[in-house]
Amino acid sequence: MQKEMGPGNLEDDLTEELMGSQAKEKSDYSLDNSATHKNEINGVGVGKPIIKSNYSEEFKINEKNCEVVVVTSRKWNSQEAGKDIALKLMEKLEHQPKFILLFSTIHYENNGGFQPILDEIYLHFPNNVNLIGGTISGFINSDGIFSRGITAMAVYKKNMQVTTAIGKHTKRTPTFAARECAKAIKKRIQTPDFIFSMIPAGTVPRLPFMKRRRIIPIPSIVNKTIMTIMSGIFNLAEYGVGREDEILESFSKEFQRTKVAVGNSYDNNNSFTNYQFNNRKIYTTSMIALALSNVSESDLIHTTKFSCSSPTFSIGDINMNGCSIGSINSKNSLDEILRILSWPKEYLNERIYRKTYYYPVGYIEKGLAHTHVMGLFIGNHIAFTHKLKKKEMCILTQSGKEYYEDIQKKIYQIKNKKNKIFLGVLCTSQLETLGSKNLKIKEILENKFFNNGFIVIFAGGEGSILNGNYNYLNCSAVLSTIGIND
Amino acid sequence: MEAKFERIVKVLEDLLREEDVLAVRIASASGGSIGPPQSLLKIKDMGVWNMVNNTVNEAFTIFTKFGPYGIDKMYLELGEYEIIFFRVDRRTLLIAVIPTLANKGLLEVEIENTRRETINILKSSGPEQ
Repeated sequence: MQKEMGPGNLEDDLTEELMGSQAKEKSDYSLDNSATHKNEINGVGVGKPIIKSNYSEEFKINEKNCEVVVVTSRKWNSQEAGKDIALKLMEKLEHQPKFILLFSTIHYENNGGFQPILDEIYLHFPNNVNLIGGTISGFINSDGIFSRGITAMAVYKKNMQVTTAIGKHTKRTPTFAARECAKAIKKRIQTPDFIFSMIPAGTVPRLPFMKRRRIIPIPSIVNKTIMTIMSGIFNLAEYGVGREDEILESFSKEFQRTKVAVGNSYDNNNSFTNYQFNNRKIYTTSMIALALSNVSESDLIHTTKFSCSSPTFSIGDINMNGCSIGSINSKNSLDEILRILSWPKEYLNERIYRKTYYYPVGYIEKGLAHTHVMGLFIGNHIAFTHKLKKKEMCILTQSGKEYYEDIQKKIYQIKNKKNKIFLGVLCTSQLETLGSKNLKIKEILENKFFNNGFIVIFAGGEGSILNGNYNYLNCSAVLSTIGIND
Repeated sequence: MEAKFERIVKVLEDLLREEDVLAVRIASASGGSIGPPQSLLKIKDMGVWNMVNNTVNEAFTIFTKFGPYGIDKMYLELGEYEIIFFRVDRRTLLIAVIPTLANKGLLEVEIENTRRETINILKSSGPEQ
């Protein structure tokens, strides 16, 4: 039972008793249990924390023909976490789910691995339950926002057709991987209504001299050669950029009438490793997909809201599968970007990425901002997270307020929310820049999807395919719904 | 039933398991504190941690003065370390130390979760110690 707060309240005395000292003054701090979080989005203002009862609060709907359960585990050990998730799902589910979406943070890599998680789930569920998922940097569901743990959504809907598929070696042969995945889907479902897919994000190999380094000094005379060599080695060894544009371009040709929501599997924003899950198996360089048909209406919105904050500049000397540049305005790219940003050379240290998240490079086309976060500085080359498709770029900017208002506006536009579940893919850059303020997203969703179920994952990049057109972006939001009530 | 003190220590120890959380404790304006055993702390420069503990009253002064304006958190960057102060209530702070180069946004989510769990424990019924 929760206690009322007020002057001279029990909690204040309790705190003092815990500390073993006498209270000198009474606290008038009162804890607001309402679901409304009153912090201003820009971080200034009155803050009253939302009190959640505990982490094990699951939400489900249980209409006659459908069932959705979303659960969380915060156990550190992977076997315990897997068992925790499985038991929580079992406790609430009345039907065998048609599919389970499982998202985990990278922590389990060093706390037992990921296989025990999947093994525990399949100890409690039959092998024919479809499961896909992967590692992400964080997630939001009705329990809160977390950058450590596992969340799972289990869905049952009568007559819904489900299949999963994989396409291997996305970094070595992206087009082939996409076609392989599409072919496997079409064997069971020719024209799915909705597909959710995870693609491995770009990775930086954890070499001794590159351990957590963002600035890698290389003499300019050998810079271009080294970039070319690195590019080749990375492709073969399946490190480096994710080649998501190539994957989605190929995939979009296979599914002209299907809504496809895509997120990059990722780690805790270090870009060292990431994993994908397909049923009982774990992959590191594969595209995995869940395809659904016989779902009632679904939605897919891919949105960003940035504006240009610098004059346009021209990029050149492209390398690393189109993801790095060696020149800007025909000058050394490093020197020129510092000039454009009016940053002193002293900023070129390992702390630079604390700034570069807030200053992505890109362009705006048809209302969508194509942002590229500066990921690595290799000699005088700047490496970005994905392919730069235009030569004319600018520095893009966005405030937290614009970000939330855009997402809120788009979510509010979704019709018939009470018959849908929500699956969101947001960028890890938003989790890194706004931290726990992302709880605002939870408020928006609880307001609209509370009785159904929602999961938002923070991924390494976001993609979408709608009407055969694809987009792959950073710092964006993919907002999708799956209709479950006919 | 586990005492509140022990439950809070467990929550703090859980946060300390995060790779980039080097030290953590709950400090009270009256001088008391709750924290994991020193042997679990990962901060290499204990001088910094000792300085934080010895000067926490100054932090409370700032929180008290800015209280009417809704101060909720304070961050100090000290060379290799960042010290984060989260307000639990008017007389209690959650203090954590992370490396300057850590992924701060992700860690801030877990520090916030720790604050909320601490508040929940303080509000719950049960023995204190």
